[in-house]
Amino acid sequence: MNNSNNQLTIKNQPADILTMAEWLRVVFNQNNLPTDLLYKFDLCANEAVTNIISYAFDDTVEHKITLNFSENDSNVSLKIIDYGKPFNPLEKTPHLQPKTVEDASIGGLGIDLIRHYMDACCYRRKDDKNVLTIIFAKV
Amino acid sequence: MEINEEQLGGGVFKINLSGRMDITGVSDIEKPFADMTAVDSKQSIIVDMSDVPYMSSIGIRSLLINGKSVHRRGGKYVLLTPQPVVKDVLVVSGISQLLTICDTLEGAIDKVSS
Repeated sequence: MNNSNNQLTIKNQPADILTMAEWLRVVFNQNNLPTDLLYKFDLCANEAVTNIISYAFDDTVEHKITLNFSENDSNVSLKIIDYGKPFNPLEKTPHLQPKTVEDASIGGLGIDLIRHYMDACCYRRKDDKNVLTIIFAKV
Repeated sequence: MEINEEQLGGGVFKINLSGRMDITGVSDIEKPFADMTAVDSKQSIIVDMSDVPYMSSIGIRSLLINGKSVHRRGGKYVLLTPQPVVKDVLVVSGISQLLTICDTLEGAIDKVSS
């Protein structure tokens, strides 16, 4: 676990999601950011990293996922980097609202939640890495 | 996460969930949750969400899978008092239009008993 102030490296293991949540809590506290914003980032980072853990790697070897937090006068952002298969979650089309419980598809809602709670998301593939940045604009 | 079940009388069962409902939390309760909702004789199920401070899409998936199982056999399944941040996730994801959310235990008992 490599943990500096604004950067955290975790493994592609579900248990490391709790490590990430705790790191986000500390970083948001240090930067005096409100708890409702922490909740949004915790949720969106959780969705993005859960996707990576579930789909990015075909083997069972441990892989690194790196998170970079940044804040400036206009926004708060989190960059999520993995070395898995190329995957742009933003290419996924949003879900249509099903009419009944029976019609509801199971899963795949994560990216819809990220789109809703964040003001911007961008993806790029760079040097065999997936780089997803989620951005919340300060009013 | 933790899960337990109470029988409230009148054939109503209340399943109490507790803890962060994400990939690790759901893996703790997935099996018992499915077992509790899969019993044919249980037609009235209330899922108490008041002790769930956080829910990701994996949590929604879990609520839906079990809701589907109860609906499929004609049973009733409602969610009780989710915390505001969790309720917001249920609304944003459209689940609040598919599953009934109740603000009081009395209201929930009425819904599953009617």
